[in-house]
Amino acid sequence: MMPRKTRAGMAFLVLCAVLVVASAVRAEAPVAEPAPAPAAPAAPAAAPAPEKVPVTAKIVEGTVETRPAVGQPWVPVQVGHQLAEGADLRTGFRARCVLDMVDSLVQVEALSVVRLGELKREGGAIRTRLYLKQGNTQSIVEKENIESDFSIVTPSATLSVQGTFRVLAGNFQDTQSHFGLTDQGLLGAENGLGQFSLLGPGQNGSNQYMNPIFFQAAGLLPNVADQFGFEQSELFAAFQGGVGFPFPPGLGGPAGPLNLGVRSGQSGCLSPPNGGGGYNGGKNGGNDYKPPTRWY
Amino acid sequence: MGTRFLAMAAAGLLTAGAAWAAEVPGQAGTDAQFFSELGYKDVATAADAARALAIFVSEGAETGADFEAARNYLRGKGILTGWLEKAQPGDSLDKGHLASLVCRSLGIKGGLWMRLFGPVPRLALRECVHLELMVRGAEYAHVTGGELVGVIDRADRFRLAQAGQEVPIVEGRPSGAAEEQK
Repeated sequence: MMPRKTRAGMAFLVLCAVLVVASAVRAEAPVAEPAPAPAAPAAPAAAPAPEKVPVTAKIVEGTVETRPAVGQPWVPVQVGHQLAEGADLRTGFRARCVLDMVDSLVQVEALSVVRLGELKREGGAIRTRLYLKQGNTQSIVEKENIESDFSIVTPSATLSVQGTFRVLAGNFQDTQSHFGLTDQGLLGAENGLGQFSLLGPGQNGSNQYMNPIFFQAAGLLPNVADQFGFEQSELFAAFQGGVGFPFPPGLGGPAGPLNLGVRSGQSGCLSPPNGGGGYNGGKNGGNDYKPPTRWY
Repeated sequence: MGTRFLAMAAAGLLTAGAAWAAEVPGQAGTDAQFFSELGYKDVATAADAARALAIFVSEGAETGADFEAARNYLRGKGILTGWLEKAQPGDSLDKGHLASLVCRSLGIKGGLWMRLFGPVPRLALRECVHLELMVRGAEYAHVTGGELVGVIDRADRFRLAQAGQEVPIVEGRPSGAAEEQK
């Protein structure tokens, strides 16, 4: 026979364990349970307030996930799933998802991250803004029977569609934005500098609207500056001069005789105010970095 | 007193255990989660490279969530290079070694020097640039997460093109057009 105190302690212990397990099960439940897609209200707005436009997943292949808004859990997308404005969509390897957006069909291809930025009917026109963070899309935009204002926005360029046709748009961090027009019509692309370019049928372009000579030079000049290498101070040192300095350490670069930290009297060298020095000989275990004392 | 303390300690341990257990499933994630989160990383690591290549080589069959499992899979396929063999999961990936892995994955033989010396980082990077799989740069420059995603995407398109396939083309008309036509 156990003493009463011990029995009470045991009972309390069991109660605690049950509560904790129950809370853990409940915490996991939202991940496993597919949340119902928020359906856009179908009631027509009498007032001039914009009306939400429903988006339906028409074809789903591979891993396709969505979340209704930032901070919400990601759930798998199935055929017929309805998405609303503000929803994010991401696709896995060799996955694709075709979205029916009333005025357009958009195929989000593999390894993409897309946000349905704006989706509304204003008056008779449907305004669509697709934020393409990463990946590729194909779009068929219908303008024969619907007044459509359709744009694909990437981090570096905006693509506006001017007619009924098939548009390819992609964006990756290394290649940046690229666009193509495979059908008849006209495509307008604008980059962050406000430079605008028109593309005709069969043409494609990128957001690098650069002077052709500068473009060639950028490709031919040695690129030895690793912008994610080492520390911020070294990054500034690497970019000093902007012509490919410093050399790699094996060739007597930053730690060698070049000694960018004490370089002065050269014109055209712009260094940032909070850094821009370099190694000072590298003789004290590599930690002898000296910050600059003035602008060059 | 002793029993009460014991009970509180047990409850605390159980709570911590449950919290830890709840986090573990999220670490593996789907391939969609992996690639979307990879796009936000400033520097891709050896673990990212191993997982991305395991997914790529297996055409999506392998998840590659575990670094060692992904390396074993790549080793079995003869793709593992000396760098990835020795790398720690957190080691940063550079362009040369990524190019070398991509060349091995796709069986790219390259030109004369690459045929003689194999896909060493510098030659492999030049070959990948020539095939428009990677962008130009120094072979020791670090690879960003977004760049790794882009390379995997282009390498898969390249592989499909070699096999005479392509990404499906979207067909049809949007629902709004049909409604208006009625």
